[in-house]
Amino acid sequence: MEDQLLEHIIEKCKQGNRQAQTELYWRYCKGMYSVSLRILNNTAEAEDAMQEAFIAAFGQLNTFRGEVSFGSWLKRIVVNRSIDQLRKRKIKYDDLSKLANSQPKNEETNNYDTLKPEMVKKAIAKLKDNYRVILTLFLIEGYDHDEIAQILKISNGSSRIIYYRAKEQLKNELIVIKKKMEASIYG
Amino acid sequence: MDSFEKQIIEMRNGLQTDEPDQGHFDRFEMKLERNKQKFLFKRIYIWPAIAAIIVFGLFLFIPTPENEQKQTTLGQVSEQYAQVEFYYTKAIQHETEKIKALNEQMGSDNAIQLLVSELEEYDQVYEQLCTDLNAAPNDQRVINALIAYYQTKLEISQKILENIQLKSNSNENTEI
Repeated sequence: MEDQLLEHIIEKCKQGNRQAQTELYWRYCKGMYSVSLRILNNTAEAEDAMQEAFIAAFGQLNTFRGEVSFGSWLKRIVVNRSIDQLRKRKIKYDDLSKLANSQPKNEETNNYDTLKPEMVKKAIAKLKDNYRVILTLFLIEGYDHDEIAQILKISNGSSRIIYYRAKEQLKNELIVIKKKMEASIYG
Repeated sequence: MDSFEKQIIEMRNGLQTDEPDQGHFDRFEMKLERNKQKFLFKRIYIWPAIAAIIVFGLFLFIPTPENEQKQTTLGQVSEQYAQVEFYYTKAIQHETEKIKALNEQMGSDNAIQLLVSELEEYDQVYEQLCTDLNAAPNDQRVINALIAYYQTKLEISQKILENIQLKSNSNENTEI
């Protein structure tokens, strides 16, 4: 039922129907904005990238063949747009030179049961650009390292290494955030 | 996949709930509108403009053959005139070929050579008439002038031929 309605909306969008485009936007804008925001870490840039991705998607709807879900198809466009925008910051994704000192120091506890989405978002936002992007694409958006390598034009190996470091960094950040929160509640 | 990763993956839905700042839909609509205008501009104005530039460019860069091909001749006025034109051009061509052949046979008489070259100069009249016809394709005066031109040219070439033939006959006679 839901799929049929979506198909119908997509068909209308292909004909340039403004109402259908609006409907599609409202359905996906939050999810797509979140993807873009996680990558860009800047609300204005994220909104731009997300909206431009929608417009690009409307223009190339004929290439959507339904091999993947519409959401995944759209998300890939959003990811590419966001990465394009991020490139303007001249990030070197596979730059490993500054990683030597960032060894994990989270020997305290492996109990992450009390994690809340807001804490994770905050922690991700604290990561360096290349850490944040690769961790987001892998852990949150569910791309594998081959796909990430393709998207970022780096090697599969670099993607794995950076992801590993980013994950450890994220754990550290979460510990800091948790401590701060506990301090503000109990202190 | 460690327990930490599992924890995050389970929370994925909770991480997809960010909302763009207030007024985002208005901004989106503005972008849509701008894009539509850009699209229309591309479709309506740019392509015909490019086509026009290309066509103009073609005229600019190959003007001579284009003009020559485009020039109106008597045959292009109507089917009847095409037949007239065909008849005269063939007849004249036939006569001039005979003239040239006989002239060569007789060892190139200077007087006849002069007549032939004058006949060729007469072609300038033809070119002028065609230009006139091009300017006024249905002007009967120009059409009549063109027919008269063909008739005259044919008559002249026939006269020349007669003269040559007379000459060659007399030459043969004296030789015998």
